[in-house]
Amino acid sequence: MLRLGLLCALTLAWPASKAASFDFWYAHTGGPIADAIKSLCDGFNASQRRHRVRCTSPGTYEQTMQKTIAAYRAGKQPAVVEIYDVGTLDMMLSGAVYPVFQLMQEANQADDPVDWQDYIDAVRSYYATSAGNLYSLPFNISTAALYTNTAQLAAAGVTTAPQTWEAFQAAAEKLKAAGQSCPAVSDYNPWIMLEQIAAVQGAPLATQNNGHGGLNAKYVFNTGMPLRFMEDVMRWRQQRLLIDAAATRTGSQTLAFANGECAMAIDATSAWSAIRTSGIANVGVSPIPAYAGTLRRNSVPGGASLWVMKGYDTQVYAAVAAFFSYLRQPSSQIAFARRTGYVPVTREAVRVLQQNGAADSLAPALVGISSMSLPGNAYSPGARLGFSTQFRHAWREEVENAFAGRQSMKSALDRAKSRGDILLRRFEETYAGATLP
Amino acid sequence: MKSRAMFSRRWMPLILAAPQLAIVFLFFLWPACKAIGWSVYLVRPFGNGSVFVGLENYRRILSDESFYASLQATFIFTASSVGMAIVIALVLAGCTELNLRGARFFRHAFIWPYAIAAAVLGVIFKFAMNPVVGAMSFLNDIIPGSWAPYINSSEAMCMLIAAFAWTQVPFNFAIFAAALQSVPDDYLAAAAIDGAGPIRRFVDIQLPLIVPFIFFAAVVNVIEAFTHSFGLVDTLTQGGPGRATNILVYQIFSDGFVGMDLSRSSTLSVIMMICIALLTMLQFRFFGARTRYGK
Repeated sequence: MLRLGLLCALTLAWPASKAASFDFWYAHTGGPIADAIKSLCDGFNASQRRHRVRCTSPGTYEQTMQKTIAAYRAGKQPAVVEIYDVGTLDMMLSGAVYPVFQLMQEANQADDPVDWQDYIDAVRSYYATSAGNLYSLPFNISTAALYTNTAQLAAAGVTTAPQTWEAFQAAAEKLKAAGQSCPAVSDYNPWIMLEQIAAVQGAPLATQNNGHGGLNAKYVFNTGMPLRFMEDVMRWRQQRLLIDAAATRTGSQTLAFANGECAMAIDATSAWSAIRTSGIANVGVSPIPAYAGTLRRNSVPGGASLWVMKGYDTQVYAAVAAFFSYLRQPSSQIAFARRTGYVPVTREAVRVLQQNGAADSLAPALVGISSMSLPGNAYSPGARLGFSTQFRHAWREEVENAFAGRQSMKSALDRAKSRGDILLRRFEETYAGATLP
Repeated sequence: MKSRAMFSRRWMPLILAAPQLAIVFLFFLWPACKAIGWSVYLVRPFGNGSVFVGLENYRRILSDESFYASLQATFIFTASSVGMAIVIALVLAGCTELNLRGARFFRHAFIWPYAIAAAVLGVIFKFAMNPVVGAMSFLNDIIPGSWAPYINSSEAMCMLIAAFAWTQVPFNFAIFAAALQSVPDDYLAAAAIDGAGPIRRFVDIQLPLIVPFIFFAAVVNVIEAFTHSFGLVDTLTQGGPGRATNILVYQIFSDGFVGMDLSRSSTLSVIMMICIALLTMLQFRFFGARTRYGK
């Protein structure tokens, strides 16, 4: 009787905190990243007894997005889903999500509210609305970095990692002269070769603040710094200072660096887990270079964020909020960064990290943080542009045609711009009447 | 009175066929109708608020030069890979008919590769065609840069054609091997007595007698090339270099599943459906007519 009374009292006292379980779909299959996410799920389930998260992976980033759409249309969506960076705009305009800032506000009324300003600026602005509110929870955040094989560089007489593209070229020339057949490697991923370069140089990709100002943006990357860089890339490629990833033994830029075939690579900080597991020694990680004499701005985040889907009750959302609070803890963020190369996203986590004296395994994360923490300009939040996967395809096709000698780099970027603009107009028409939050 | 194997009522056969018809409708016709439906809308991925645009999606695609380039690539890919798959399978099947040692073993062994999924084959081919360590890398040792399918569009197309033909050879081989077994031995023996060699016998007796099977294999191969080659393209070339191997079915896959452009993807599907229907009709008209001999 006493027990029953106690139970009633408890139930009355905390009506919102009833036990709930929910599904979380993550977008990694196998490997250290998937393992690290599973550990976070287990950690949350072990840390408290009220809520349970069921973590499953429907496949890669693309597959997770497709299956989320199919599930939503069938009314079977998960409560939480990991969606990659290029899906951000589609998710924001979908009408199918429960904005994270609202969720945390409504679920955490009694607890201390989330300090969203504590998020690293570049990360927050990439996922925030024009009013500065976060629609999704930044989760696995990565940015571009320069990986160098310090032993090979030292053997060629280069003692410091290149800070500028001029130094990068000089280092590659020395490496080549020293007999290195692959001084630097690239797979010409536009996320790095276009978006990161433009951000670091503070150059616009598109009007309307890279699309953050509205759906009527137009691409403008076919001049200025992005053009200068790609023309340099074309020249480096011809001089065999920069080697195509497809022309290496493994066909992958990460592995070509990790197996020692190539001395330098511009890759994501999240490539770290693959590089580390290969067992290579003497790896240096530094921010991606910028042109000499230019002001260096922040690099932009990539990776994915966690979206909360509509269609559940407050108990489930309370459980989701508890899960998110767990993920936001510095210890969770740092454990995740250590295993994957992803970057901690709050200043608090960064402070804890720096106090504890960062281990080697956190080198890429630290470089990523400092590279993303630099002051930016209007174009620093990165791209918010429709049909960006198709656009990246178009950019790559045109650039490949330039490499094959069928057109100049200028005309490649001009054509990529006009094809991109057609995609943007079509996206605008698809979302006619909708406004960016 | 003659007993007839017919149901007394009209609806009885329909009821018996209903489960099958339901499956055909649910998994084949309904998605096809949905694709036609989506092709006249600008579809938002999550559905909330799609806009009706009539034939605008078709107008847009048909006035886009890249669509015609893709169509051309599709036809080159289809014609070459189907031709190659049929010729190789014919040669192999013809050889197993020669009563050479091991013919029985090879009759089985040549069918096994059919069990390999296209995507897996793509990964294996990608490794085999690697310009540094692959089977073709000897070309780069002779003339550096001569084998570079990642930048040379005709090499990429050849690689794709070879890979796809490889997937179709076992199926064709199984059909042709079975067909050749049905050719009466008397004809071959008589021809041999008249002094016809194996090639002569093959061209004049066996080949004409199995033409209907070649026709059947060609129809199946063409449909496969149009519809099921995207796994191979995705792992081998991703439509590149440039857009040299961006065949229709890969565009449908990449626009719809990766790019979230469901309208364009649906419109392309409908166009492809029409292409396949036309092609199959043409095949029946021209080749089908020749296969009705001796009746």
